[in-house]
This record gives sequence, structure tokens and C-alpha cells, in this order.
Amino acid sequence: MDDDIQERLAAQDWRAAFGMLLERYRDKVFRLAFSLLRDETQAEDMTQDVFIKIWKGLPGYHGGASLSTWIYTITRNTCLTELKRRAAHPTISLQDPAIEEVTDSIPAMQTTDPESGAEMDVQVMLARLPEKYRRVITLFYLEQKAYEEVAGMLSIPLGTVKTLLFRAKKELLKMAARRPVPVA
Amino acid sequence: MTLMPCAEFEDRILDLVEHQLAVGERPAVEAHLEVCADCGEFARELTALDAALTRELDAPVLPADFDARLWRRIEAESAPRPAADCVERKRQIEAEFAAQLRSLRAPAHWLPAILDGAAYAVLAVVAGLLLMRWAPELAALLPKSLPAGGRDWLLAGGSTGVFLLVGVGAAFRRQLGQAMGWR
Ligand SMILES: [Zn+2]
Repeated sequence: MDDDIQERLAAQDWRAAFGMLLERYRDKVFRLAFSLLRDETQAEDMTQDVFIKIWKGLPGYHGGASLSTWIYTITRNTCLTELKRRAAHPTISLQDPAIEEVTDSIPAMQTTDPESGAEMDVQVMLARLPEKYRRVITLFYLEQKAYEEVAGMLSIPLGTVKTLLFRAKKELLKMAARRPVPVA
Repeated sequence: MTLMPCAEFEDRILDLVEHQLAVGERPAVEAHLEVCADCGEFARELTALDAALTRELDAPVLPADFDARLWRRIEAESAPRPAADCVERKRQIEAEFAAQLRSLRAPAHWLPAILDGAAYAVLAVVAGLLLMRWAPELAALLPKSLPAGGRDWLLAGGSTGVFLLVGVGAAFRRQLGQAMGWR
């Protein structure tokens, strides 16, 4: 599917190949990074780093894996390294203070505004989901529910994507059910 | 408000809401949703969740200057070195190294020979000293039927023979190797 890019690569026209690849994968890499890191600014920085790595790696890429597989692998590795670095530096906590603040104030939000309390506060519930569920469900919706795309980007089988999605949804529904029902 | 859909319908309801259920399976599930309050509620909740997720999880967008910043960074870093160049450079370095090694060896071809000889001499002296130290014990190992003088001669002759063999072998090592087809 990336034949045009492969052609440029074969001709060692790195600049043209990279330009096409950037155009095609920039947003996908960013969305994958965002679903892994949960932070827009960091996802943007990582996307820059990923494309620098891709640029440097282009001459060594020999088309063994498909181009998309190669790009997504670099993206996942870069982001997971960043997550490990974050975990190793407790000052930049994995427990995002902004999220904790929101989480703490859930009951208040629900009792003060019955109208919005009836709505599901998706962001708060997502923040409480186990990591593996949240990654899949986030990417699934960011990628307009394209199952195969999500499977390729996370490098997991299609069946696993479905299973994780189901579990994530059931978990979210359980959370929603546990909320105190707003008094009318 | 507990969500307890029927176990045998749960997965199919999830699929139905995601528009993933095979067309042939739909009527059965939809008919069940009509009659089962729990499953009906489950389906409604799932649909609401799906709507909420679709609304809330909108993709973040990269800033407009993303590409420009990336290209600036790339200009700052050196251009990628083509792989073929790397291979060629490696070959050159290896060739230079081999040439250096040859030039080091050529004028001093006698040096390794002398060191070789010296090593064998040291080995011979050490072996001789050990032999002298252990001579009585070695002699005691020989058959008692031989006369004492005979045993001494055998020991001396035997060790001299071994030394000679090793020495000749070392001296004509290369020729021996060639004759045997080594290396
Ligand atoms: Zn039912």
C-alpha cells in the first residue's frame, strides 16, 4: 500500500520518501502516541522524536516489515521508553495531578448538576480504566472505530482488540452504574 | 441499577451496538431485546456509552507548524548517510587495517621466530626441571624386573626422545603442517 514510498526509497531519494511518509503517517503516529501517553504536548514531542528516528533509519530500512509496521513499532517503543522514564522520575508522576483532581471532585460534580450528572463523565472514567483497556478504547475511537487499524497500530491480534474493547466497555458501564443516581 | 444481561447474549449485544454482528444473527438478538428488560437496558446503556465516547474522544490535532519544526530539526542533524556508504567505508577501514598489519609483520619476520624459539627453550627447561624432581617416582613406576641401571637408561632415553620429537616438530612445524594439509 506504500508502493509509492517504497519506490522513492529504492531510488535512495530519502527526502521525497520521507515527505510522503510524513504526510501519510504524521497524524496516526500522533494519535497512537496520544493514546499511549495521555498527554497532548508529550505526544507531540514524541511524534517529533519518532520522525527524527524514522529519518535517520530510512537508509537502513530494507522493507522487511511493512512500512506501517516499522513506523508503529518505532512509535510504540519511543512512547514506552518515555513512560518508563516518567515512572523512574517520580517528580513527573504517572498519576497525573490534573486527573486526580478531577477524580476527587466527582461526587460534587454529580450532586450539584443533575443534568450533567445523568451524562457519563467519560474522561474521568477513562482515567480510572486499567492501562491496557484505556489504550485500546481510546485509539479505537480516535481511529473512527477501525478495528484492523487499531490492531496494526498496537501490534495485537484483531480478536484481542475486540476482547479488550468489550471488557473496557463493560468496565465503563460498571463505573457508570456505581455512580450515585442524581436526585431529580 | 445493576447491569445483568443474559450471559449468552452479552457478547452479541456488544457486537450489535458496534455494528459488528452478522446480519443473520441480528433478528434473534433484537427479538430478545424486546422481551428481556435487563438486556434491553444493557443495550441502551451501551449505546449511550458509545455515543459519549464518540463525542468525548475526539482526536487531538497537531499544531500547524509541526512539519516546519521537524524539517528544521532534520536540517540541524546531519543528512542520513546511505547504507551503501557505510558498507564501503567499513571495507576501506578493514583494508587499511590489514595493510598496516602486513607492513608491521614484513620487516620483522625474524622476530616471531626468535620469540618462538625462546618460548620452546623455556618450556624445555621447565619440563627438564620437573623431570629431575620426579625422576625417582617415575623410575619406581617402571617394571621391577628391569635392573636398576636399565631403568635409569630407559628414563633418560625416553625423556630425551620426547624432547627431540617436540623440538623437531616445533622447528619444522610449517613444513609439517603443509605436508599434512593444515591451513
Ligand atoms: Zn436477556
